[in-house]
Amino acid sequence: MKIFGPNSRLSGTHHWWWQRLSAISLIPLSLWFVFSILSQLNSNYADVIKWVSSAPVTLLLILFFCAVFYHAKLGLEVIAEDYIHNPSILALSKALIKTTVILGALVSVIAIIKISFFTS
Amino acid sequence: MAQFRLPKNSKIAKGKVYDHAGNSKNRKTFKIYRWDPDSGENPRTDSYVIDLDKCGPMILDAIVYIKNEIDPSLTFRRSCREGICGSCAMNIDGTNTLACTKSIKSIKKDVKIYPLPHMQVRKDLVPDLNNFYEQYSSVQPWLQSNTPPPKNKERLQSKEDREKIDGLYECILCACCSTSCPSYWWNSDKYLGPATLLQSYRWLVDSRDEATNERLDSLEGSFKLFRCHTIMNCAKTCPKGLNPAKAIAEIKKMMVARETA
Repeated sequence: MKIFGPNSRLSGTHHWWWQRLSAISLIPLSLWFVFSILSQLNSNYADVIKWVSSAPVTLLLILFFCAVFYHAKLGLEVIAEDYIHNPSILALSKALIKTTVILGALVSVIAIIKISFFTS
Repeated sequence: MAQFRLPKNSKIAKGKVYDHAGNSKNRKTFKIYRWDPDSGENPRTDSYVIDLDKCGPMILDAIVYIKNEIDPSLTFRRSCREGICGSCAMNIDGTNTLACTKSIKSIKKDVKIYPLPHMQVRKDLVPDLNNFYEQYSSVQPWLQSNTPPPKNKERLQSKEDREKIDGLYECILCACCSTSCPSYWWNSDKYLGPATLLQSYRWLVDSRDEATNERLDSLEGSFKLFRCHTIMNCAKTCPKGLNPAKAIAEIKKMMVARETA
């Protein structure tokens, strides 16, 4: 399965397929996320910490944020390729997109791990 | 960046009005885009009022009538007048279609006619289709096979295999679909566009063609095929009722299938 590794020859197919996979995975994940947050509206600080700390919730939260940022990266790259025609500005934009989403994903995951494992 | 506004010398001015309908009650106004590269002037829309009792039922009949009877300088392409050559593709009443198969009656108000959108204009309703034809030839639209044909016989195909190219072989390359596609507008230098991709798929599903892998290889990358964002303007506008968006989706599926198999 060559499609699961980085391979420039397959850039288009790889990109398109993973955009679909991340989109499909986000349907249940985002529904779960929205309903969970709504159900926590009346909880106090300690309850929310306890909720985040349970293993399945920690795992789902990490999955959700990784999928969100990965999907955002793929989508933003498509938009940049559509509208930016100068090759060096396009390369710069893609680098900016990549840096931003990696930072975003890192901050989210570290925050979740910190709440889950190091906050009481 | 993509250009969202027309450049100064492309702004369309109001043109002349030719009232040629006399006292007829069956009048119809045709507002037609005019641009002459030799005049140095901006494009304009000229209005021609004609008596529908004096011309045939189709838009092409009307513009042929205008050229013959009112203004011989009006320039457009036409040939077969029966929807099989694709020459008279233009933007009529806001939709790309063939002037010869679009009836005048189907348009209630004034008939607005422009060249195919987002193409370089040669003159009036004649767009430059060189890039479009080059893209078509780039997919090598002919049968490629290493198997020699049976002696003194044609390469045969089962009924089921033949049916797979229904809805594809009917394409007349009029360019209505490609020039209706926003993705093609922004990236026509790199994205092949719906017409060319439908033609490519016509050979990809042909049971007699053996170059499937090479054909798919040549469509790889983020631009040639994957600029299609399923906008579906192509399927909506096709004057032959074909569905290029579906053909493109099938190619994408073939690309993924051969990598995950």
